[in-house]
Amino acid sequence: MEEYSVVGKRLPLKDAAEKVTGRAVFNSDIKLPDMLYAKILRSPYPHARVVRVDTSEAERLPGVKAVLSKNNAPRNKVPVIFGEQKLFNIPLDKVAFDDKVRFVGDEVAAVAATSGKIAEEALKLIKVDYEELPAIFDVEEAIKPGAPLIHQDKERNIAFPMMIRIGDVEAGFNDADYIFEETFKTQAQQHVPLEKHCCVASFDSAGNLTTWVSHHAPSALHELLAEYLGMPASKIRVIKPYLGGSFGSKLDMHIEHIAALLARMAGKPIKITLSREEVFTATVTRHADTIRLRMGVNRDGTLTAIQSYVLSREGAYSYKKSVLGVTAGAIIRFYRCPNTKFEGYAVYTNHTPAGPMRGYGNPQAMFALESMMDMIADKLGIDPIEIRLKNLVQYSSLPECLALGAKKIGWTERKEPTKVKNAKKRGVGIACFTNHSGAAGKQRDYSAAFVKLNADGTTQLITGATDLGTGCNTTLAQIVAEELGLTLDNVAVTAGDTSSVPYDSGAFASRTLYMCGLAAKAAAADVKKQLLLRAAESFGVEAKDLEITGGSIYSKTDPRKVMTFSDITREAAENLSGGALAFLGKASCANPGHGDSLGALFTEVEVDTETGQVEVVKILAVQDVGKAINPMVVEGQIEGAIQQMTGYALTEDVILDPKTGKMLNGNFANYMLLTSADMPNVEVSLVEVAEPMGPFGARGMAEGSTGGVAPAVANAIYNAVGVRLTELPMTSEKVYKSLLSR
Amino acid sequence: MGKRLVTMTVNGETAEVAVEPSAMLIDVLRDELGLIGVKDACGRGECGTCTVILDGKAVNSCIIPVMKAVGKEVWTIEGLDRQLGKLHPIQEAFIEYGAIQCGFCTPGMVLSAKALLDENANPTEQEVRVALSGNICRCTGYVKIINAVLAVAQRMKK
Repeated sequence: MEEYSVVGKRLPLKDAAEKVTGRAVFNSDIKLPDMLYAKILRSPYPHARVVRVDTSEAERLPGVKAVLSKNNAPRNKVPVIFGEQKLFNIPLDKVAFDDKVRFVGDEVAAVAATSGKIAEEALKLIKVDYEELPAIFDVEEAIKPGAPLIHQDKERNIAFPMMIRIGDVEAGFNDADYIFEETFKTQAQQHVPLEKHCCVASFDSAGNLTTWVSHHAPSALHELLAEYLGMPASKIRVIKPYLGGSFGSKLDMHIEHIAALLARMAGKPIKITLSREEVFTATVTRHADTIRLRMGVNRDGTLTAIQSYVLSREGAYSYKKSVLGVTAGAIIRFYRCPNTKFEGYAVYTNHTPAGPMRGYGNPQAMFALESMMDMIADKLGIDPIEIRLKNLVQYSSLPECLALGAKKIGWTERKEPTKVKNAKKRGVGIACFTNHSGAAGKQRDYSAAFVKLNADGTTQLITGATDLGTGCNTTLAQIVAEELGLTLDNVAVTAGDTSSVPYDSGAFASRTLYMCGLAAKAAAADVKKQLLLRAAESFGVEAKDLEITGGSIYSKTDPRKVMTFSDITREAAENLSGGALAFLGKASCANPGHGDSLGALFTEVEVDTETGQVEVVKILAVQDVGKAINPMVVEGQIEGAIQQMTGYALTEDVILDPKTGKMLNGNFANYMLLTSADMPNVEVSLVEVAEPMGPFGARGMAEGSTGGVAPAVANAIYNAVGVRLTELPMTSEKVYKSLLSR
Repeated sequence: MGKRLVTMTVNGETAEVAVEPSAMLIDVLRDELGLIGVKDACGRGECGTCTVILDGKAVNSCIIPVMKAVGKEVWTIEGLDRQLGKLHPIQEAFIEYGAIQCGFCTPGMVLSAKALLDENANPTEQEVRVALSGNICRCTGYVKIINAVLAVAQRMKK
């Protein structure tokens, strides 16, 4: 691959000093003069009609300035990002402060007061008459005809179905030597961003709304607020300050519309900060899926048919049709198989709504598919790596990833499971994974950028990108610096303010570096072109005879002809004879293709056969990331995904009381996140095969390894002790029970 | 209950503050003294983002009643580079090793690392892991944080 001077370097984040000194101002740190604090009253019932809400006493409490409930809230539907309802023709299903509550945590009223304490006191004074309705927590029950309806305007508790048929699946099963069938279950997982969701909203006296949000699609939110509030977008400004993590959790409108409504009512700025319990119960979770997978295979390991039936738990409201689409895509597309049938249903239940979460439907699919591939390999006596190579659709660099990982982990020394009792046993497992660069299918996926040249020859990248801890304010600047032959210091970044940055679809689908990177590179190339033309005119040579390095332009034919960028801006300003005076590059890009980032994840586990306790000893992720614009940032993304997904594999679970529907573990003490003491030894190896469409060959990569961890751990447990876990999380209790019945 | 005037040493300077006696240390540091590097993420002493150093020990300021800090010495993240006139070596290592992503856990993480290294200048990897286990990070997977702290210990030996 080509050598670059800024791209590909392990450079520290541009904002690292602000963060490490505690000076970085996050949303939760913002305080405006005369600001009010708002709290939300939430339903204690999973399913109930809200018969009457009496807020009169709360309104009389000194310090209370605005109260919002079904009595006075707008009745229009809350729009969702990506405009999915229009793309897929799915009716919106959520009204804020509705006549019905559909999960424990659904909003019933909101109070703005001069302090958080007064707002909380006021919530206690609100009287609500509920008429309880039967609640449903099981997707199989919910989908039955005649089940109590969660949304009255639906015939069944199905948000939407999804059917895909390719070839003839029955013929595929007829041709198969063996048919494998298994049901896999995955749990709801919470994103647990460290910073709680927070929003500040303020109207000026001309009726313009400014809102500071913890949200990673500010352009999209800008549109949603305009639509919901019935305001022109030109009167709304969305600002995203430092954002303390999200992983998909801050991609829908959870509190921003409520803050704006209260601010409008009270005529004062409003701040809403969710409690940690609210983050757990009243935002979104990962979709819990039940996946029935049936696969036909020939004696030599070639797949002949893949049939899947998926019940994806949407919870109370449906935000994302595309999550189930990604699940379908992973099951259908990853391996070559002429006959596939996918039947999926997004099922309403009385759970906290499911929404986007890192991996976005892919980890559920890969847990089922990659577990099944090992089951097939085991039965047919084929090496698990071999059977994958045999069936892979996308050859690209995955064989290289597999070979490198196999060598590092000592794959050839892997032993078969034995049934020694009362011992700690080790096993090694593998799973492949995949990651799109950007959103696939019908989704809007585009980015724009400006690159402004300062008079002194330094530049400002103005990007719609959202840095939520992903480091894109640094990596995008690296791209601009490389394109213009500048150092990183000479590229500043403006981002996260809809009043000054161009449109961007948002930070999701591993698209930021890829798409915003393409736009930033093209905008930098545009300003470069303008500079070259100007210099060519000044030198009296052709632009093609010029070269840019280190912030200067040289003539290739006459090395005495040199102008720095600042010489060019000065000359342009002094000589008003035309041409570009204000050097401003601009670009707007649509996704040119979803260059996949593939990889393989290897793990070694130790299973205590006396207790069922699984210790993940080592995880090795090998991923083709294309060109790593900043390898330190890229490794950090993979390492972080591994922490989240090791928890997904072993410990993390949103646990509800089956009677009341209340979350039992909505806090750090009981939602079992892995700490630094729990984490295995993690090693990341980058394979860099340039993606022809990506900026400097980069691929979107940050969600890929999410698909690999759970199946690799399940496969390693099987390799250690010969039991197959098909349900996540693989707790010691489940492992122990499986050991007893083997 | 009315406010009470109390005195403590914050980041090397005497601070006289009027506090609600029922307030937690975090509230006084953030709301009265404007030290926003003390982050709030759980309010129950479970995540470590509000870590400060109180008389040499790393504590969760969200569960320390402010009256327990009266007359004592408190260090927040803001004090580290102010005292030295430059970044603390732990801060430098966090930057250099890529131990920072969203940055929300970073102040607490740095202070827990400082409390560890002040007490044990030559920790093993396991000791680092245990010392930081009260500080949750959801971005980094801890790999680069642990490496940064071990690197500082190595440098301090020289």
